[in-house]
Amino acid sequence: MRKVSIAQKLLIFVVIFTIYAVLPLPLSNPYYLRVLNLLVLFTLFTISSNIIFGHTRQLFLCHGALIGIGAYTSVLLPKSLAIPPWIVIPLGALFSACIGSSISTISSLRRLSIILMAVFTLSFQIIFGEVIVGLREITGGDEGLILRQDLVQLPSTVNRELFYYYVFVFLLFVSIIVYNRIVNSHIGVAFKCIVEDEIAASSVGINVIKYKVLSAFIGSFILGLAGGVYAYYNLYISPSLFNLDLYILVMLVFGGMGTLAGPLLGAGIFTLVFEFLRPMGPITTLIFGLLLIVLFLYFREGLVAWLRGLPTLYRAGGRPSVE
Amino acid sequence: MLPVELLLDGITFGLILSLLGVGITLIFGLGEVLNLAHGEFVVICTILALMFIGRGVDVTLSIVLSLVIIGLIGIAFERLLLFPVYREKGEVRVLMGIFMTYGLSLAIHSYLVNTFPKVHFSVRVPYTEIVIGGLSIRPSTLLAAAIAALALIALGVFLKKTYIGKAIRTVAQNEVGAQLCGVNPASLRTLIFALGAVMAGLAGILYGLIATVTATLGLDFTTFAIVVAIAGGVRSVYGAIVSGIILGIVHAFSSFFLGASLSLVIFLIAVILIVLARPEGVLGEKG
Repeated sequence: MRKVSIAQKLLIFVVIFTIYAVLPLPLSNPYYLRVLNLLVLFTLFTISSNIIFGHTRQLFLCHGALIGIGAYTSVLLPKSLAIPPWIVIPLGALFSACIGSSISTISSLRRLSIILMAVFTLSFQIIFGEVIVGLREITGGDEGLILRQDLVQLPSTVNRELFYYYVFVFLLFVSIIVYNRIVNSHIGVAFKCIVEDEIAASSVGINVIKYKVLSAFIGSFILGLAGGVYAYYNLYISPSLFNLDLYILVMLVFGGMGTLAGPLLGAGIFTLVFEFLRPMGPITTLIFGLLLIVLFLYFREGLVAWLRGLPTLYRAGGRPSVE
Repeated sequence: MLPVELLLDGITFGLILSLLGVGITLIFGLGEVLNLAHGEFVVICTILALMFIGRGVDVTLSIVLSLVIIGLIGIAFERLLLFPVYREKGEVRVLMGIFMTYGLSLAIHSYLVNTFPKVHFSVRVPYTEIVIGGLSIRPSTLLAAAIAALALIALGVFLKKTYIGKAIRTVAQNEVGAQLCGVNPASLRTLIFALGAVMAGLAGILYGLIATVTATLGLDFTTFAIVVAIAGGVRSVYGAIVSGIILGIVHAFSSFFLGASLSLVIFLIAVILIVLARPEGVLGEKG
């Protein structure tokens, strides 16, 4: 582990956020802005997946459902109760977080193996879709829900895409700071121990269940928050929008699990790849499916580990040593 | 519809589910790979059968041909994609298996849904309804149930009586022990994967007798198969058969009284409850 001084760390953060803040300024085409919005959105998703799967190895195949819960709650609640979005989006996120952490609590209390966890969360994802389709009167079913624009009124001088871009970047900013605080605290140490060996971790007094639930809570909260804002940004939600797990996992594995730069790079690169492939239509799922296989076979350490290995590669002229 | 008829429909659907669940159980028992692409074999097989029928081949012959081809496809998948998984051990192997088959399943699914969006597979049996004591029974339902039951019995005999069957059960019990006795797990895994694919294909054909198979059903079949296998105890073949029949009956009754969408939700909630209540399965065999 390299030691990074506080000044260096601050510099890295400033650089990252300057990049994100300046990125949309030269672009005026709304399409490019939309791609950038999706990029930041997927970065948020991947960061949460990194917290849940990358740091505590809880296999959630229901990211889509957690995002969807945030989105549907924050759209449906104000419809009936007239609550402003600034309150209702965090409420939706809290609801996602409760669901996510209960999934985590139940499965860690019952000591579900990875197989059972996969089945559990996959069933949950399908149940979510079926419930949304089933409650047609409230949720609009398969056809989805179109939002009336009047929920968030922007002055006409403000560029809508740009406004939401900075909202997403603000969320990203907060998530990265929270992530960084967690990973560099005693919680991060506990996460590391849990990934290495759960039994050994609990034998030295680490409350494994507590930390797993905590990571699921934080991860699901970010998922729900991003989902809620996405609903207001996109003005349209439907159950088929929330089959995102494959993409999130590809981005996470490609970037590198358990790192900060991993999700940023993975989501950044793959959102662009995805946009590039979009003209090919729904076949992109096929390509992403095969990508997941290939990545898991030959690139499981991720881009970050590979980049870290590069300097040694040049110095020693041999293969990089990846732990 | 009378309850007895519903029960019969449920048992038939349950036997088809058992065919699917047994495949998952055997593949997992031998290699610790949870095959999340299992349902896609169902769809591939029915599409193959349709292609043969479309070319003017006799229906029975084209079904047999498609079953053979799906077996070969199974062998190809196992050899090409799963061999790196088997090099790993323990948790890493399980995780890699899930990711490989998850990716594969979504890849095949999107390919099939886009290439064959209008495929509808159903087999018509040219007999009228049989009426026994006020019960009207469709011969296609009976035929599907009979073939599924026969296939399951044949599988049981194969596992219990033949040398290869015994070797398969040995590997499922203890891989290292089996290797010490001169059993090669790798070739048995390929065999079982092919067998699982053929049984999934057969399940698709039989489902075509009682309902219609479309290209979009792959993921549903996968869910059903995994659910049956998990509820049956993941490693127990008999558990998978029993749980398949029970869940089939539950499904028939709940979809008759509550409608398809809600019944799937109830079905999945039942599964979650089973998983949580008894992670080791209905029959309680320890994994």
